Amino acid sequence: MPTDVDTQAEPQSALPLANPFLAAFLAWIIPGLGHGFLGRWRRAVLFFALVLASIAVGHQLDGQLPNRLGGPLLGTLGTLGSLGAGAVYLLLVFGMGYAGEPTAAGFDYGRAFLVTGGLMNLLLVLDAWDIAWGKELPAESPSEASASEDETSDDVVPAEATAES
Amino acid sequence: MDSPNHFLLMAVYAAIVAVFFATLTRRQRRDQIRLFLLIFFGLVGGGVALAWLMSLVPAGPPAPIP
Repeated sequence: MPTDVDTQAEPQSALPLANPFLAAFLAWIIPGLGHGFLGRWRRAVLFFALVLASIAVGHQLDGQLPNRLGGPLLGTLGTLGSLGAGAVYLLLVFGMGYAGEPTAAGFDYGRAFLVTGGLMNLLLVLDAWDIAWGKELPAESPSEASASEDETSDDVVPAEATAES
Repeated sequence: MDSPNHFLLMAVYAAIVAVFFATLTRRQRRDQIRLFLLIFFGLVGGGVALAWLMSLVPAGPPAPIP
């Protein structure tokens, strides 16, 4: 039987705060734009700078940009990860014809930066999706949150206990 | 870029990843700094430790260039 504790532990948000599909798409196409769409502009600017910095370093190193699906498993996974960079990836592959320089000293190092940029943006897509559904991280730290839960746990009395009294 | 500095690249990579996850998963500035330091020095220190362990393994013949 559900109690007051159960219902307060996981608040259900039936309606999203914003269109989660639009937020996720914006987050994918331009790094950080999903957070900006949701009003988190400071974090949006920082995320944009971080993803672009990672990709810029990879590009500067002439790193390999995986761009083939259906080949070896690691290459396919690398392509899927790099695709997470959205418009930046599309611009590099289709706009600039970039694939990296195999003879460059930073070919492998650069690939790590390029794929990491895409993977970070994929995490931003998921985070924007969660925020749009009202599942954003609380402002307080986990330790403070657990402490406040402990303090308030005594105040929340299960429904069965109140019925008995 | 002709000869990348391996350690510098590792530090830059660790810094980018550390700032990203600290910002993404923490809200309080104190927690963000703590997580940043944990990730940054974890990655850099882990890389240096792994490199030292690999230095104990005798080097074999150079790999053939495909």
